Amino acid sequence: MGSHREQISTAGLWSLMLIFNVASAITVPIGAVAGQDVWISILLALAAGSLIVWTYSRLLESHPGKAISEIAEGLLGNWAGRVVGLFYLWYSFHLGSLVLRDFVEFLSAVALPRTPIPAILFPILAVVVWGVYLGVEVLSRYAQTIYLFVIFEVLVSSLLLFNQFDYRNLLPVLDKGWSPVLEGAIQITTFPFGETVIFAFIIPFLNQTDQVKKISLRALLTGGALLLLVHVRNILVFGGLTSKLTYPTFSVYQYISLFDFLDRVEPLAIVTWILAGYIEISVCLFACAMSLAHVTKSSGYRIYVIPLALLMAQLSRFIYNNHAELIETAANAWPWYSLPFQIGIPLMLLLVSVFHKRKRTRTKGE
Amino acid sequence: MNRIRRGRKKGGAPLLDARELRLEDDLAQNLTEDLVKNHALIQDIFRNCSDFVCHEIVSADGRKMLTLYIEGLINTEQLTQQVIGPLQQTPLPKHDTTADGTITSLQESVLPNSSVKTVTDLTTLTQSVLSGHAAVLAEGAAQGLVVSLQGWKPRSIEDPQGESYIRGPREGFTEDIRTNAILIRRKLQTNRLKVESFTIGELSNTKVELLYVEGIASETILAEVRRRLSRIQIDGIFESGYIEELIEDSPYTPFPQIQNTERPDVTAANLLEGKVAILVDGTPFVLLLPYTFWSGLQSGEDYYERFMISTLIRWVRYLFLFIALLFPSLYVAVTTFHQEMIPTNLLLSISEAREASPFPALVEALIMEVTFEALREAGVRLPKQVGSAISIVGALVIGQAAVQAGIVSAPMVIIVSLTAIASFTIPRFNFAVSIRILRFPLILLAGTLGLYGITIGLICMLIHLNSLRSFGVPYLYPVAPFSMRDLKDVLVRAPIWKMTLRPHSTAPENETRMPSGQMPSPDRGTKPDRKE
Amino acid sequence: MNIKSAFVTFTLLSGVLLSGCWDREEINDIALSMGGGIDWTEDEKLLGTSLFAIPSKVGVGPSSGGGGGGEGGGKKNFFVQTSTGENINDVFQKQQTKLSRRVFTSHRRVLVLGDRLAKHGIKNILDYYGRDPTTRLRTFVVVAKDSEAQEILKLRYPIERDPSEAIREIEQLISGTQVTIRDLMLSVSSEGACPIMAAIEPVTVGGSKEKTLKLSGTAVFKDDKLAGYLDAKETIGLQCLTNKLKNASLMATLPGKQGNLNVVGLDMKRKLKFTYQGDQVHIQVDLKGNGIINENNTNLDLSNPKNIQIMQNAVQKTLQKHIQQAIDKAQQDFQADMFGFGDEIHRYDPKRWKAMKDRWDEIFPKSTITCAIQVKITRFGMSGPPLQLQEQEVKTQ
Repeated sequence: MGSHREQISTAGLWSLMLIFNVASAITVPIGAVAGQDVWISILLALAAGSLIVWTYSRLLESHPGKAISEIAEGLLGNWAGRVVGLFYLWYSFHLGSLVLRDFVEFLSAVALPRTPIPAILFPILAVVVWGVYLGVEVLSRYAQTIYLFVIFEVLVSSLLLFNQFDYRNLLPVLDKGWSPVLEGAIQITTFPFGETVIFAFIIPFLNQTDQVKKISLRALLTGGALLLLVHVRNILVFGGLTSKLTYPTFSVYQYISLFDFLDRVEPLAIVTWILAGYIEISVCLFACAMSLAHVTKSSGYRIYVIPLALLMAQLSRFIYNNHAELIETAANAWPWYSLPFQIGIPLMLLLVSVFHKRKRTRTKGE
Repeated sequence: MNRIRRGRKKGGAPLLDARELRLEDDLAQNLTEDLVKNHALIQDIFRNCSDFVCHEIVSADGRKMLTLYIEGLINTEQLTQQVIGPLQQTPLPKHDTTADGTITSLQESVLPNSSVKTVTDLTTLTQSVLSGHAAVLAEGAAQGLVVSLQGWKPRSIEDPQGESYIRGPREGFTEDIRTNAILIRRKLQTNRLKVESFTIGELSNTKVELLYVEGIASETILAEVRRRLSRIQIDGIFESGYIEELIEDSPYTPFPQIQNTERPDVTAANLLEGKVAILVDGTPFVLLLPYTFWSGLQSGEDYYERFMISTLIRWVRYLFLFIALLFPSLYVAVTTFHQEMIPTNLLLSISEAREASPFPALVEALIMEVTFEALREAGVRLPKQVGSAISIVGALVIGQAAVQAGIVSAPMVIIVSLTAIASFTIPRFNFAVSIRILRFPLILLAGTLGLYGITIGLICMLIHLNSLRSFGVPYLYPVAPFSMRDLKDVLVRAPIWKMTLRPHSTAPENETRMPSGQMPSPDRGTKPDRKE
Repeated sequence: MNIKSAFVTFTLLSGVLLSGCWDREEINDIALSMGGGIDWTEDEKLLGTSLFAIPSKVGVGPSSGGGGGGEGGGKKNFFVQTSTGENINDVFQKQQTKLSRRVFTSHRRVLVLGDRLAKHGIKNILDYYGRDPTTRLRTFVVVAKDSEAQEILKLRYPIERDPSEAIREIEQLISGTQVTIRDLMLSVSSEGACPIMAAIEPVTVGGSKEKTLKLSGTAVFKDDKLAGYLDAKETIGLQCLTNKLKNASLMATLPGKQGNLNVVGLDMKRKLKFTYQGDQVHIQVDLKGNGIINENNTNLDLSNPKNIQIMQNAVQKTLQKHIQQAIDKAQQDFQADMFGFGDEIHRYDPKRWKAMKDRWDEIFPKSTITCAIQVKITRFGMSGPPLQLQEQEVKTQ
């Protein structure tokens, strides 16, 4: 800490983004409306997600070392910068609360049913605050330490389920036509792929500024591949039941049984959830604190970490009353609510920036 | 050196009281031509030192001389033969009776011993006498001579106790810094092995040497080590542990950030990787830095055995690292929170064994772990003859009687003993200790929040490990930050002929260790390479 | 530095102090339910039966082995609790009041449904098993054929720990209709398939009063109500058509009193072909497979390929007979598509299925199902001709 400027490596950014993409999406059902065609939805969402990622990373690449609110400030002036900062302050704060609630909800459902919510919430919050306080460099290294575990765990669990696969579960393709598939694709585009837009506050720390696009697209594709594997696996095992289950991945893990001995491996799912979910919450909190620091023009984000974390915990507790509301919001409202943040603002800024540059070169040329 | 010490004293807090200050004034003076005055000064410096000997002799040409030494610190026989004898028998050449010439010609013609040096000030003289030299002062000369006649025998070189290998050199460092430096020099016979000397400790005046291979060790790390060494202010250094604690990066961590070793071969190999060694006089433990998490899981013997075997052994160690760290806490979490996660038949066995046990699993685990720690500590401290008694008592009391009496359950005994065995597979003692300590908070977390608690504990550990650095090198390098190249000595133990590059973290300037393509095969060198 | 260490302490302290260990439960405070059963009583209530392991008598540790030669006769290492209620949770609530330890159902690996309940309909009880987080979807489900679940669970099965374990092991060993809660849910919720599951029946051991249990074919449901049972031979037919016949054993008789033979390791692969004529569906099933002869009670010399051919024909004919019996039962007696042909149409021809799915119950009994069977015998054991016969008795040609 102290004098040297925090920096993250390309591998660090890649693993952070990868884990951020898959952390909750490998456990929570995504695009459940698409039923057994969820793989089509994921593929479509990957294409749409690439567009989102391309837009914001293009913007960040052309303004190296600057976060999205600073870019807005540079292009549109002080006032606009603050507004954009406030937008993302809210978005990352809201997202963080949702993720936090989800995190606690899962643990409460599968591991600690009788433990009160605060007792689950505060330990993770304390660790998150500590990690964010130590900085994004430590977070990225933490991601590098665990991403192999996450990938390995997904592969091994899929391998253990091989004898339970029924490939006919994927049939019939497009049974209900394209509309549920497209709906699923939109859901998956905005959760999880589009959510990486809050990396607009982390990418400025990258040490190789010309690699932003490449790295973020690569992280998106790896994450997408992992999600594809996980959700197709769930379909292959549970067929039509998959979309009805609250935590299909966890149920799939419960289903693993090999030689009457290799069974009851669901701790793996829980541990992955905690290890990866930690990254997701921390990234949200970090982006939140960073954007607040930009809005208030403070020199450091660290003083905001604890208050924001406590507020986030509060919001997460009454953001919705039960799981049904979450599913309802996630399916219907969330995609439309989050699109302006994920593509609207970055695209607008990108256009303005291109326009500015063109104008400048033209005036120079004349 | 005198200048440095005086200078620092002005800035720092007063380390010496008034009486000592008078001594400081004595020490600050230079030798004079008046032998009587010199004698008085020296007597004042060494007052109440009954082991100090000041011996008056008359030289062959009738000049008064003083020989000074500490009894026992020098070899008296050699003193008689090599100093007093020549002085009393060989007259000085006539033309050299001037004050300054006396000493020069004494050094040149009477005592033509390479270890003879001239001194002019009392500080150096005192220091030399205290470190095993004999000093000679002559009437009318404002200079003195010191002759190195070390008379005490350092412990002979033995197999290192703490790090004994099945295959590998049987020599270990001793308490004598000269012997230790020579042991390393004999492994690395190159002028690029540099030895920088420091004296640390106001009163102990301990010799500390910084060893590195020029051109391999990173200059930034070296500069950092020099800076940290030279800012130490302390009265005495008695073990390299003092230095370790005074120069490490983060003091509030259970993890060691500097490696120690008793083995010259390990030291030499690490020097070639670009690391830096710190030798401290009076201890066989040499410090090696920078240090990473993975060094704690590597043994020098890994490089002496076949690479496949070593790779396998490393994997076993990684596995046992997890067992040593997590096994008791996992047991507590799973048996008290997540019984659904135990295979049914195993659960039935455990439940039968736990049926009668009076303590909750958490308490049982803590009791057993603490008992084990006590046993281990007792076993280490006791003399060897009694030590075996402890292990018998431990095995009988804990292993059998406690289970039969129904005080602890049998699975817990198995867990604790497996954990104990696992913690002994970690090759570096200081690293194993930190793992053992971390077990306890993890058990507590497991007992309160189950698997969630353990994972929270693990996240804490990972975050903490990732925030650590040892002299600028991230603690978990090469895993995080990731370096595929350097993983070859962490994930596996690559064959020697594959490790053509030095680790980037410690030797960024000179990475090539050997040319590639040295994979042995009967045809190598006789036939042209197929690629060409 | 100080803040860092403060956070570590904070985390640890919050972990220790905040928690009152709400979910902590020692192993000796839980009652391990190993198997469960649901019955429908005559006064129209649910009767739940749970089988609990008695940990001190499980008999694995050293303390229980003390008896040495002591006969396990009187010792019972499990006990059974029953109670009645309106729904499953009601039943369990009442059961809990009879137990000194908290019921722990995560290790329940077998669920037995009583015969009367199966006939009454099972849809109403299934929700609990899909919702309860401690229930594993991998729990085996069986029907107590012509008896009650509690009767099965109260049996003593000498070689296994308890009857539920016996059911599980038998299912894994020989039943081709292993059905877990997942499979049951899938088939109950599916449009074109009927639930099937193994049937377990209590039997008396030769002459004595003691009862054990046996696997006795398959129970077939129409919608969620038990339609009837298939015997072992019909079950083989069913498994052929559902592509589940793996490693089966089959006895076949040669025509003309030549004797019989037995085949093991019989694996059959099916291929389906649907042709439609108006409302009439024609299903062509191609079955191919191979097996090993392990008993030959004829005088045929198996080292002659022609004789092998005869054997193959006999096996094919027997299979054909079993399959036909199964088809007849499905189409005439149960009028239920226990083969899941409807699902297959749904998978491969979703458009046509949409048109016919509402009338599938009428279409299926009228559809024609034909089978082409090809069995290859790959090996015939350690001898060619029967060793016990004199040379002139052996028929080589």
